[in-house]
Amino acid sequence: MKRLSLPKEKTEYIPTGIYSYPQADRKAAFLEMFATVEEKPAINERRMENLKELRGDYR
Amino acid sequence: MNQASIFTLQKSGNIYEDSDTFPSELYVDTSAWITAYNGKSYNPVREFMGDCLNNNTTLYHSEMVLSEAVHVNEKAHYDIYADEYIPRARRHGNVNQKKLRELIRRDHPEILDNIRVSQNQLLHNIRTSSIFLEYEANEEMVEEVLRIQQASGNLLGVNDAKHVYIARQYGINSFLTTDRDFIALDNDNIYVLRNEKYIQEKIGRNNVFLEFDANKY
Repeated sequence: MKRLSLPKEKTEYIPTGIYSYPQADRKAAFLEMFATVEEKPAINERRMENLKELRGDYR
Repeated sequence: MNQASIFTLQKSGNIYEDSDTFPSELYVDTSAWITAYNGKSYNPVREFMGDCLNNNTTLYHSEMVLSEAVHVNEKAHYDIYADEYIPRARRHGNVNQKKLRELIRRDHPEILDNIRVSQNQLLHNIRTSSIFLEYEANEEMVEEVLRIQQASGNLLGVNDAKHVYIARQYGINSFLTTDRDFIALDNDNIYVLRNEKYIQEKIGRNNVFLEFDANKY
């Protein structure tokens, strides 16, 4: 299998999203982003069930 | 076969019990993204991803992750209403999925907006916190995916094997997943939620961090 270059190994790579933050601030930014998700618990549960169906049993 | 290293996400204070280092590259499969996305309370998968980011790990996703995430999210929204409409969408014992969705959309047109908003947020979170890995779907890929499946004793499904193929193409052999089949891999590092099954599966394995070695796959 031919080894491909990771995006960050390429000269034109510019960090975006979480990776544009200083390393020490990334976790806080990441957790804050996920904490803003507001959805019914039923939707969350169904997503997991559907993935189980799509990919086979897991966990 | 089945000699991947298993690291559970059990934390004692600020230290992970199974590993004191973080991989520099980590492929996050769809099951882990969906687990991270769910719920507001403490979430070990989300916590681990955050710790990885603060320890200079780069997280990765792929088209496979985005497609699976879109699929399970869209279906989740329809499923909320489905029970009410199944009798009307049933013909000869089978449920006609197109008819089912048509009936739901007719009575609940807001569902399309809800799906769009939810999908945008889900994809935004994945794209913002991880890097996209491209792959070329060709004959070589099909052969390689089948080979990965066979090497796992056919425990991995085709979609699971595709995730593995995409990551390995880039020299990545660390996976964050809640899919138990990934532990059937070899020479890979598997990060999983702690449960009884993984505690048992860890027995007899070295469970040391394994460097990527193209000759071992």
